[in-house]
Amino acid sequence: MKPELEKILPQVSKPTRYLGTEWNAIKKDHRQVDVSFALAFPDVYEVGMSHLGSKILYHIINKRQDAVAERVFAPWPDMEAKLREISLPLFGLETGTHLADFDMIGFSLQYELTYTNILNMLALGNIPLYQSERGLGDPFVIAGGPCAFNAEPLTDFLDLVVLGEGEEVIGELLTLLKEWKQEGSGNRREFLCSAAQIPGVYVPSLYRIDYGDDGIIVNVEPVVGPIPPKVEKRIVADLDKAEFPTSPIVPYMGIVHDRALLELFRGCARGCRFCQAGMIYRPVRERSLGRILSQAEELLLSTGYPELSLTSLSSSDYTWIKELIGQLKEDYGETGLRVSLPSLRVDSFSVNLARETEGLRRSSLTLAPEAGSQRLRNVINKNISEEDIAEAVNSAVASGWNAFKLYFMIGLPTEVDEDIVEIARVAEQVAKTRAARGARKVRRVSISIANFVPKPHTPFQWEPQVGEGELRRRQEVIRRGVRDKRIIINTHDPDSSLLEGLFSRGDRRLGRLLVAAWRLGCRFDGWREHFNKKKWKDAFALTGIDPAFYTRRRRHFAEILPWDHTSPGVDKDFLQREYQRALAGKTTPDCSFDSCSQCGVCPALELPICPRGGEEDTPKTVG
Amino acid sequence: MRFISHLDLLRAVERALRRAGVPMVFSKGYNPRPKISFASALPVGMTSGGEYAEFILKHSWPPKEFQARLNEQLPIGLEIVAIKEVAYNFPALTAVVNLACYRINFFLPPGVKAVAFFATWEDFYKQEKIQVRRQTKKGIRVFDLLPHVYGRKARLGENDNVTLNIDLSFGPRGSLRPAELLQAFWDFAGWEGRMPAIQREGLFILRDDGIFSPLEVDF
Repeated sequence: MKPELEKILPQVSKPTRYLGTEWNAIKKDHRQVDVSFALAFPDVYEVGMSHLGSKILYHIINKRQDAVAERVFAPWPDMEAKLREISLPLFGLETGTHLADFDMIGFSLQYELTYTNILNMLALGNIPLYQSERGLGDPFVIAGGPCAFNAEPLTDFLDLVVLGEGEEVIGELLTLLKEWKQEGSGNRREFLCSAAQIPGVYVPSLYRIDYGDDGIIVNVEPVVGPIPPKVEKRIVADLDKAEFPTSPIVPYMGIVHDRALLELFRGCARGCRFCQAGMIYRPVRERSLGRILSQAEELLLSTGYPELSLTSLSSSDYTWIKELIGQLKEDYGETGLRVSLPSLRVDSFSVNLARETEGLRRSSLTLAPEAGSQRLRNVINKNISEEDIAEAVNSAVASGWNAFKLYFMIGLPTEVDEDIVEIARVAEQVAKTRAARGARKVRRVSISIANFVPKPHTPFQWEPQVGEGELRRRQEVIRRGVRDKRIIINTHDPDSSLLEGLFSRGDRRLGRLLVAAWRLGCRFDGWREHFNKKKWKDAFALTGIDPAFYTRRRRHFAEILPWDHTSPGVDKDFLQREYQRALAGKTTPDCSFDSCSQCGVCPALELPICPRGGEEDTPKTVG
Repeated sequence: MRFISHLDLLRAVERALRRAGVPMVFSKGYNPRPKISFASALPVGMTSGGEYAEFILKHSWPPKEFQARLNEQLPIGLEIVAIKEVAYNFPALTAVVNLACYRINFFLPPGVKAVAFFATWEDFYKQEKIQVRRQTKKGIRVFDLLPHVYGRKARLGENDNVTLNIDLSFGPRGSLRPAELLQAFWDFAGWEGRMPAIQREGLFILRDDGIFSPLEVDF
């Protein structure tokens, strides 16, 4: 460890965040490789270390003989102060190499309220903030992740953006980078133009955006030769062939998801209309049971974790879920292995799965009805009924659960007070549940009320977001509606939801705002204790940017949206059809079990329709 | 291995045991944990020259194999250096260790000559009584530290670096923290002393017939 670091670590909270010596961490000599990559996560260690995508990329890059990947996270404010005090630049955890000495820095964009941390990390790494100011010897700054599907607010700072799954693209990029370095021209533009030829790679500086007098985009086009006018995302078609990290780093400190992670499948075709993940990660691709079991064995052996999490967007939908849980119990039951299932559907089948995995270790059971009234659940295409909720809760209570967590949203399109009071009613209904036999009762129901944020590439991308004051009023409607003392209500801060909405659907003109806010000291905006409304207000005033233009305005279907030239494969026509069906209260079934909803993703990615293998579906032409 | 908390250390050892495939006995209850107990939790920031822990196994295992298998799976900076198989009724380590040895390194305070330092160090112990005030859950406790000091050596190294080796009582029947001793010393000398890096060299059993490591005694 560097002596400077050794000196400051005793003075900061949770110093193990910065050690870089965890089990399975990979340390390579930078002189022995051709290209170096910093996997940058713009949030604190505990959050970043829980992210599966970063683990996958770390594994893929370090598997190459000619490349090295190191981790870097946003330093907590106390560490930032110390780094500045002793003028120690931000560094890769494994070897302490300064950020500016890496060839490429890749940020993971998981959440809009981490954007000021990106600027802060670049500054702490002594890297020119603006991509236009970077020159010979500076690293390339790139990004990927769900927010990459509208990275426009960050384009001033990013050299390139990767759309979709990174397993294959990362290798292609590194090979290109290595060749470019060996050529020795040092011409960054040359590299970026070649990179733009890689499918899934978006180079923002190669596109010109023109705005009309009303501030709305009138034209988007490439500024040079053979650059695709629209960049399509990349996916891994066969998950069994995809690289998967079976020796991930095991942290010393407790992290958010402190367990071994297995990925059952990607994508989700349930089609909830508010859900960006459900749109951008399509289509559904499952990993085979055999592959998952062999990965489980390798993971447990290499990490020593006592807990295994079966992750996906809706784990009870995995075709072989029962077989998988049965086999894991048989193979590892004796070792005291715990299996956890996040993201369960609301039905008794899922409750039974939870009972199988959790055994006697009952904590609370989490269900996500998302909206209180059936009418509104139809609008958002959350296809569960009140009977489904009752059935799930009944069977949970009968199995011994006495605490529930329910997830709801407010501010959804078409929502009125009658829908909101239903949230309180559903919660009271759950609290009243009693087991048929015996006197088992519900002890606690905690309801989490999130504020709906319209996201790009979803059917609600044209919707105005509900304002701060109105959201507060709606939160109050719920509080007034709940009488039962066993119900605990958790709400989210409307101001930070509006800020999330701003960057979610923002455009390139917001780069100035980010810089202004960061200069004023905004950091960790997604953390309640660090979010500073006053500073953001000052930043709006300084830049003259009106957030309402982005958040509160109903956009026309014909409008060119800032993210239209980057595509997750789902048709804009499909989104519009879904929006109209939403307003009409019509639901759309899951194409995994029903007919094709013609979202366009399979043809766009040149896949056969319904790769999950639903026999009743024959390939159709979509469009 | 500095900077990791006792909880982090326990977690790291538990995971290493799982990777090594050691047949551990698990606790009962909702969250079964392997039965390991350390003689004492090392305070954060302190390094250690050696810690003692008991591991309860399902069945007898050759100690050398346990040591080798576990060492392969322990992170850098953690290593089993010695091992001994004891009967199940061996008393808990926490109940038998009663002496801790520390090594403390620091530079002479500015303007203080080595001769003056060592003279003051000796004078310090010539006091009849040295009172320590300790904040406990039950309020402030005041006690004399002298009976708790069993050994104290000070020597001068290069560049005015001082090394103290102090042996202090430890455990449920009374203990003195090295920082408490040092603070009392700075107060006595009237120097602006800093809290330096402290290494706990080891935990021992002090008996009438001498000082022993927990691995040396039988009960």
